[in-house]
Amino acid sequence: MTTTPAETVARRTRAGGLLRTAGSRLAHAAAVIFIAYSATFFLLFVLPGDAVLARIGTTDTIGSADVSQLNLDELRDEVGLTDDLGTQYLRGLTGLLHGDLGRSLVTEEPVAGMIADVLPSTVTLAAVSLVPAVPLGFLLAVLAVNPRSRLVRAVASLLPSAYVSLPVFWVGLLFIYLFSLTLGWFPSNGSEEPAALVLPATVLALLGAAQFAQVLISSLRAELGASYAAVTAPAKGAGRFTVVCRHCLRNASFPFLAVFGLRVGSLLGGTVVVEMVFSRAGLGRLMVDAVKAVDLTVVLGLVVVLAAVYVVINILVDVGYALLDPRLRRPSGAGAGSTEARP
Amino acid sequence: MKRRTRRAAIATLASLLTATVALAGCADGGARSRASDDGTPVRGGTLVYRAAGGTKSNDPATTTGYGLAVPLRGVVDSLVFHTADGDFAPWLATKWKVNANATRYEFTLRRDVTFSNGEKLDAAAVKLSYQALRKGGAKYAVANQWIGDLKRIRTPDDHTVVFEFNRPNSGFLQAASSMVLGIVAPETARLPFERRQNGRSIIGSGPFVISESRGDEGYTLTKREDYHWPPAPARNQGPAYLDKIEVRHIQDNSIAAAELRSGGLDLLHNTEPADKTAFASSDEITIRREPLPGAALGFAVNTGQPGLDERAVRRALSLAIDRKAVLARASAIDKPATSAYAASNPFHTDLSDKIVTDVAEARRLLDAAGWRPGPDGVRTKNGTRLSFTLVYSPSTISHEPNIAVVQSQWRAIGVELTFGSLTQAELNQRLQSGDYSFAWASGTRPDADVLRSIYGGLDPELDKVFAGILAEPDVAKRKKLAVKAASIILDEAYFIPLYDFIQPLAYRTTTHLPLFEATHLPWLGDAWVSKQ
Repeated sequence: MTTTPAETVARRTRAGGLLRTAGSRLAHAAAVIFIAYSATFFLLFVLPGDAVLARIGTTDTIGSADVSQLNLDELRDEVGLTDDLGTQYLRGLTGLLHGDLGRSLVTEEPVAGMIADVLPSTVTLAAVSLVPAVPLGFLLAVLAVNPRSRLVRAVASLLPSAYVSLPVFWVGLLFIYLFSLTLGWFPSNGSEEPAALVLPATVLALLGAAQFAQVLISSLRAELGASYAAVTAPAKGAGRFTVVCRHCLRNASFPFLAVFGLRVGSLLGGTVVVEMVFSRAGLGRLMVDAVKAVDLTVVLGLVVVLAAVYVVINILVDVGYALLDPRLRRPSGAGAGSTEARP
Repeated sequence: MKRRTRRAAIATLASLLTATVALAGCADGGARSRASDDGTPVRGGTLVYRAAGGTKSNDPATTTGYGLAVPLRGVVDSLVFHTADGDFAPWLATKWKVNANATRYEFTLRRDVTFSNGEKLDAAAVKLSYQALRKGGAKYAVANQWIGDLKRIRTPDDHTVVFEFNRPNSGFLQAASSMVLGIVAPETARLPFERRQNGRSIIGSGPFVISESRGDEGYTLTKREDYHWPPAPARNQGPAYLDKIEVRHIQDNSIAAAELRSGGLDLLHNTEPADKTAFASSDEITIRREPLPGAALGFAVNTGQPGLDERAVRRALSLAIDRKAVLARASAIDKPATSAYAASNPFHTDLSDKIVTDVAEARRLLDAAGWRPGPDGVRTKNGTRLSFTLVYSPSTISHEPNIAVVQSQWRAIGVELTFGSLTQAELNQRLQSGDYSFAWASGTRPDADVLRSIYGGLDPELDKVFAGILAEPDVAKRKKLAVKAASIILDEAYFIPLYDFIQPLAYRTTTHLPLFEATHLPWLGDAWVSKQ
C-alpha cells in the first residue's frame, strides 16, 4: 500500500509536533532549573555570615575572644568564598552544565554524594506512604458522596479536613508515644530496620489520603451536579454507585492528578518535620542543616535536584491528563500537551 | 518563632503522655535496679546512647562539643589521662617531661599499642596524627587553638615524641589528654579532610571500633578483643566490659527523655529543664549533678560598646542580678556561679564574695556615673541609652527563661536588655565584628586557660596573667594565677556571672559509669550495663 501525500504530510506534522513539544518541554525544564538555581544563589547571600564562620565551632568550644582574632580568609580562599559573586555564580553554573554539583563548603564532600546518601531514605518513605494514600483517598471520597447514610457521608467528608489541620509533628509525637514508647510495637527513630518505616509512613500516608480525599470530594460533588451524572446516567438506569465510580470519578480525577503531583514533590523535599520527629536522614533535613550552616553548594544542589523532580512530575501529570482525556491526545488540541488550562 | 512554639507544644505533650508511661514503668523498675547494685561489673551487653545534633562525621578533631564526644572517647586514646581531680595519669605515654617554661614536652610511648587496623602506634604515628590537624588549619580551628604555637614535632626514637613550641603553652598536657587531640591511625591521618568526615573512616587505638555508620542517624561501636592499654586509673585493664555501644542521633530532647524513661536508651545527653527536674527525683534514672568543668555561665561583656566601657556600669549590672531568683525559673539542680570558673574546674577557687546582689548599690553606681532615667525608664547619658543586646547560638535557647528574669531585674534599675538566638554563622560574624553587647559566656575545658579564649585582649593586666598561666607548668602556681585572673574578671566585671549550668549525662540506674575524666567524659572501657 502506498500512502497518499496527504497522509505523509499529516504524519510529518505529527512527528514534527511531537519533536517541537519535546523540545519546548526540555527548554522549559532547563529554564525552570536555571531560574531556581539563580534565584536561590542570590537569595542565599542575604543570609548573615558564611559557611566558614558557621563551621569554626560554637562559642562553647571557641571563646568570643578567639572568634574575633581568627583569620579565616585562608579557608575562605580555599573553598572559593573570596571570589566575587559573579565569578562564584558562573563557576557554579559551569559546574552544573557539566553535571557537577560541587562540594560542601563545610565537610568538603561532593554534594551529589551527600544527596545520594540520603535519597534512598526519602524515596522509600515517600513511596511507601503514597501506596496506601491513593486508595484510601479514593475510598474516603466515595464514602463521602455515595452512601445513603447521611452520618457516614458526614464523617467521611469531615475526617480529611480534620486530619489536614493537625500539625504533622504533633501527630508524629502522638504516634511515637502511643505505638513506640507505650506499646513498643515500632521503633521511634532511625531508618535502618523496615519496622522504623511504619510510623513515619503512616503519618504521611494519612496526610496524603486526606489531601487526596479533600480534592476528590469537592470535584466529585461538582461532577455529580453536572447534567450527565444528575440526569442522563440515572435516566439510562445507572445506580448511584455506578454513576459515581464509572462516570464521575474519571472526570473528578483531574484535580486529583494535580494534587498528587504536588504531593510527590512535597514528599521528596518537604518532609523535614517528619524526618526530625522520627530522627531520620533525608533530603528535607539535609536542606535545613545546609541552610543553617550557610552551606551554599549543598543548598543549591538540593534546589537543582528538587526543581528537576518537579519538572519531571509536571510532565508525568500532563501525560496522565492525556491518558484520562482523549481530547488532549488530538494533535489539534491547542498544541498538544499544553494542558495548563486544566486546573 | 515557629520552632519555639513547636518545642513548647512538644514539651507539654511529652510531660502529659509520659506521665502514664512513667507510672506504668515504676513497678518493675525498682526491682531491676536493686538486682544490679552489688557492684560487680557484668560483661557483655549493649549500651544505647543518644546525643543531640549528631551528623555523619565522627572526626574527633571536629567533635568539640561534649555530648558527641562521649562515645568517640572510646574510639581514640590520648597521650595522657586527665583525672577528675586535675592530675595527669599515664595512658599512651608512660611518662612525660615538661621544661620550666612549658615550651618543650617529651612523651615516652607504650610499646605494645596497635590501632584497630593493625598499624603500630609509635612516635611517627603520633606525629602524623598531629600534623594532619596542623595541615587542616582553620578547618580544625579549636584543635589547633589547643595545640598552640607549635614549632615542630621531633621523634628522636620510635617511642619518644617531642613537641616544641614557639611560646609557652602550659595547657598542652590538658589539650593532649583531650578526645579532640586523640591519636588516629596513619591510615586516617593521611586522608584528606572530606574523607575523614565519612562516618567509619576514623581508626583509633581505643577499646571500641566504629563498626557501622548509619549516616546522620548514628553509628555502632564494637569492642576490641585485644585492647589492654587503658589509662592507668581504669579499673578494667583488659577489653571493655560492653560488647557494643549503639549511638542514636535522636533529634528531639523530649522524645529522647521519654526513650530513656521507657528503657529504649541507657545513657542520654542534653535534657530539657523540665526533664532534668523530673530525672533528679527519679529512682530509675541517675542524673549527674556536677556542672561541666570550664567557665561559669553568664554574660561576657563587650567593653567596646558605649556604656559597657565604664566599670561602674558593668559593676552595677552584676550587682542588680539576684541569681537565686534567676535559677528559680530553671531546673532545681543548677547552682549560682562562685567564680569565673565553673566549680568543677580543677582550677576553681570560691570567690563568691565577689558575686553579690545589691540593687541599691547598683542604682547608686549608675546615678553617680551620670546615667539618669529617661522618659521610658531606661537610663541615658549624653544621648546614649543603657540598652544592650545579648547574642547566643541556638544551643543556649533553653536558658531563655532565666535570661528573661535578668531582663526584668535590669529593667528595675533602668537598663534594657534584648536577647535572641542567632545561627552559628551569624553569631560568629557578630562576635568577629564586635556588633554585640554581651555574648553568652561558656567554655568547657578543665584548664586554667579556658578564660583566655573568652576574656583575652580586653585588659593588658589580665592578658599578662593569661600569659603567666601559659608559661607556668606547675599546677599549684597555675592555680594561684587562675585566682588572680578570675579576680580581675569579676572586679572589673568583664563577666556578669549567672550560674554553673548542669547539662550532664542522665542514665538508667542499670547503667554503670565508674570512671570519669576531668572533662567529665566517662571512660567507656569501665562502663557496664546490668539490664539483662
